[in-house]
Amino acid sequence: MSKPTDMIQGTLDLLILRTISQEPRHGWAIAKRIGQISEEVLQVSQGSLYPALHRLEQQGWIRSEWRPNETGRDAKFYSLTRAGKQQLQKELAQWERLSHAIGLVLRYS
Amino acid sequence: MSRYLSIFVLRMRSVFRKRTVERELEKELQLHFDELSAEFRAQGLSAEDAAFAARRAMGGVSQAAEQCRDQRRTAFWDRAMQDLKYSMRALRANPVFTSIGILSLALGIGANTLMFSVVRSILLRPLPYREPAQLVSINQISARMPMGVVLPPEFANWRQDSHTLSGLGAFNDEQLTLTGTREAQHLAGATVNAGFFRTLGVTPALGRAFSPAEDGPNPERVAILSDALWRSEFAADRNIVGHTIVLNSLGYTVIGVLPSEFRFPDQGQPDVYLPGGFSGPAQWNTPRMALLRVIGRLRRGVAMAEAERELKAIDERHGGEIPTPYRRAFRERMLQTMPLQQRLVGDLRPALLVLWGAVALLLLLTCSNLAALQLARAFARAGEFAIRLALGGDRKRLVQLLLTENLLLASVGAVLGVAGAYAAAPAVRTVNALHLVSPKDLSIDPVVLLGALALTAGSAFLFGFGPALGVSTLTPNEAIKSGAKSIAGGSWSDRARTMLVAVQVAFALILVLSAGLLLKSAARILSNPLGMQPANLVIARFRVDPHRYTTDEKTAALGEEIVERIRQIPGVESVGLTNALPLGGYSLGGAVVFEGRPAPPPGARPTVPIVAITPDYLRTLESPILAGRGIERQDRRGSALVAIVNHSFAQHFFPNADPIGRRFRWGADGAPWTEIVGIVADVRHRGQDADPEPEIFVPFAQAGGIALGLAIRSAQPLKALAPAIRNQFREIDRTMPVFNIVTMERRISITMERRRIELIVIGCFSVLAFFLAVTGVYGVINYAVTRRTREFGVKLALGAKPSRIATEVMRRGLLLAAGGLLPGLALSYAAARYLSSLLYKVTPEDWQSYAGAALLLLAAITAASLIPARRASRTDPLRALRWE
Repeated sequence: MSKPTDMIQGTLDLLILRTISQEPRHGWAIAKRIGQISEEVLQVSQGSLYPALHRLEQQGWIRSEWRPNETGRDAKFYSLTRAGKQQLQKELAQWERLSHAIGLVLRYS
Repeated sequence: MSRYLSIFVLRMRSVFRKRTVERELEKELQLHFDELSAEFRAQGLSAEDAAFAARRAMGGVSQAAEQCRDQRRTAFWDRAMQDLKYSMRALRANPVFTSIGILSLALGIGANTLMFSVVRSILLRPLPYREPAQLVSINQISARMPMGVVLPPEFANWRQDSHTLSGLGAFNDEQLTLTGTREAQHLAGATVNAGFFRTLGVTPALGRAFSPAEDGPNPERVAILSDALWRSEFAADRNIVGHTIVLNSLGYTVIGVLPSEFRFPDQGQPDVYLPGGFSGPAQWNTPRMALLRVIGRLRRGVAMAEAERELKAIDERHGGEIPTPYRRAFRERMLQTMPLQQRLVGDLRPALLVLWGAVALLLLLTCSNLAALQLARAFARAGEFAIRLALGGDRKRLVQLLLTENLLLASVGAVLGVAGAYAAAPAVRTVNALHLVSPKDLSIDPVVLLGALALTAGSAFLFGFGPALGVSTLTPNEAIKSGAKSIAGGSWSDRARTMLVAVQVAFALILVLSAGLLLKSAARILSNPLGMQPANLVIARFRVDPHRYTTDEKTAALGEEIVERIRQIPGVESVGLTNALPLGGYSLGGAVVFEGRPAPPPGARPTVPIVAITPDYLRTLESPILAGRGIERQDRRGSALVAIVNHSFAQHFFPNADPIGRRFRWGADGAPWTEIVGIVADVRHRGQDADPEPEIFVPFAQAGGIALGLAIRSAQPLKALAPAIRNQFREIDRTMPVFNIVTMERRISITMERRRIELIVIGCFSVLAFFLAVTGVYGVINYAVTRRTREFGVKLALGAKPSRIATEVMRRGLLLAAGGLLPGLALSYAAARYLSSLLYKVTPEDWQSYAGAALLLLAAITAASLIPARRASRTDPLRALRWE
């Protein structure tokens, strides 16, 4: 798999939004989670993760909160805002359409 | 929406809590790093190796942090803050430029803000009535009565016959005395027709309006109160409707109270409204005709011209009903309609628009002057700019920096200017000429502030545009080579600026001269003797009810009681009564015939104002008796009839003779002769700027009649005196109102109000124009000196004397002054002739004033060019040559 920076713009955003849609997570946990679920295919480096998190926060899709992590250290936990939940639904639908379309092209051309 | 709110909060946090945000970013990335190295350690690496591996795996931390910072979108802000700091430093480093800039912008923006709020509240705000555009003023004007007047039968015909108007309202003034409250009150009243309030679209806040039945030939005694009177005299009692109040000794039932925002559609705001009996049919054979002013409401879709045609046709149709005496007086009368708004602010409109244009022009000229100053500064900094560009500086950043500086300057100026406008607003409100403005109308409201903001941004752009444009076209290569030349505009813009400055000098001369002529007029008026001592003199008006004091004996007794009681107030030196107070006009006049001279036929006899007084009156005014004696206590009813005349009377009727001992009579042909026993100095009755006219003073005891004014000589302050006077009047007769208690000095200042306003307005403008012209000249000369620094340096290096250089610069300034002053003198003469109606005993050919104004400007311009001239003569050749 290519590096995440080469991923289609917006895909990383989608992954982040989905990852924190169940429960609030901090940056390290988000990266870990994406790695685990994708069976280590998707490795998100901090060089793209943190700018993306800050961008999403500045756009009002996610909000942050400082609280202790599993080891008791203060960490910045991100969670979806109400607008963020709607945005996630929109982006999910878009992704479905896109992957379906790409699937069609690959299968029948 | 909440999303945008949270975005806003985040942005604000990024800008204002920058250090906290930065610390959090660092902490967040540190945590990631620690987790990563902990993971490597778990794989068996040593602490040192794990940290190294983590650092390698993470890549550029500071790049990521920078990218995170970019997400905050505060770069614009950060840069703006930087620019602001830099601008403040730059402005502080150049105090002359900064103070000129701030002061002139404060004056320009302040004047514009104030003027805009005046224009807005008077011209732009619709009248406070329902659909005010439908309201028209209807009038019958003639050469003899330019103010116009409508008689009740004409109004009745219109009201009955008109189809183009959906409502007609008529009103007339009425003097009223309210009694039965704490103390008798003199009130401004108005009689109106039943449809008056409906026509305006106003409904009373309490009760109801008049019905047509109440407004018949014998109007019912019902009254509607203004909100102000309801509050001041009836404690805002909501149960007032149905109660009876006493007006002019008659009982009236209150049927309504008007809303507080109601405004009478004419000068003055009446306290009480009464039905005038204007709703009946046309009646020509009544003994007394009210003089009406009329408003109408156009039916929807009807044009004003259409209504005017209809009303004229109605007049014509009923023309035959008009009795002969009226018909003669009506000759050449013309029916005139105009929008009510125009009628109410008509004469103010052109004056306000001219003033508005003038302040706008002033601000424009201010911007042009500041542009010259900024250009000189940009010129001096061209080298710095070029190096910035060459080192990779962003061109947009440079322009942004310059504009920031201008915006900062303009903002400080605007804050000062708007504060000044706030401070000046209460003074403007007291100007009676703006009669329609109630205090809450003229305010610096948000719209006005928005206007000021736009002006600020606009002017910052205007005066910063030139230099910024210069910088934006600068190329580093060329700029470093040829330095400043690349920023300067061409010779065309130089010449335009010089012309503009000459125009400013001419304007300044016109205004300074105009102010000078007005000032001289005011000084001449103030030096006119008043014929009395205004210091420590208080005057008051009172109103005697002729129904209560029916005979001369009764009024005489009343007069004596008033004098006695007022004299007993502690600190009162003397008291007098009169029927004509100084600066208050006259109330009585008589056609005079002299004994021993042929009597002209009635109608051709000179009419002279008759001033009835009590013995101490002239002593109270301290009016000097020039010859003979004054009115004394011995001049009683039944003793020989006496009069004293004023100086003008003696001069006019007895130019070569002594009037004392001569006799005259006034009134009917058989009236007894009155002997002139003294001559008194001219007391100004019409105003300090009105020439005195012949007057006769007679004792009340002999002439009878009713006093209406009171003069009191006392060193007591008005604050102590006024309540004491009120108390005494209450004791004498609870139904007699005393009002307009003022010091004589205040009275004089009121009569001078119009002239004072003219003087203040033109004076302010002349100060502004003067300031502009001087900064304008300074700006142009200063710029020229800056541009020629190198040339001066070369000249000095080659041995030129510094004084020669200074002279050269000065010559340029004086040429500029002459270029403005010479045409300015010619224009000033035209302006002075235009002003001549405002002048008093000063002619437009008052050459001294011209010389004074021109010299004043010349001196100021010389001083302004002295600063750059000194700088030029002290140019350091070495620095000048190295500089570029």
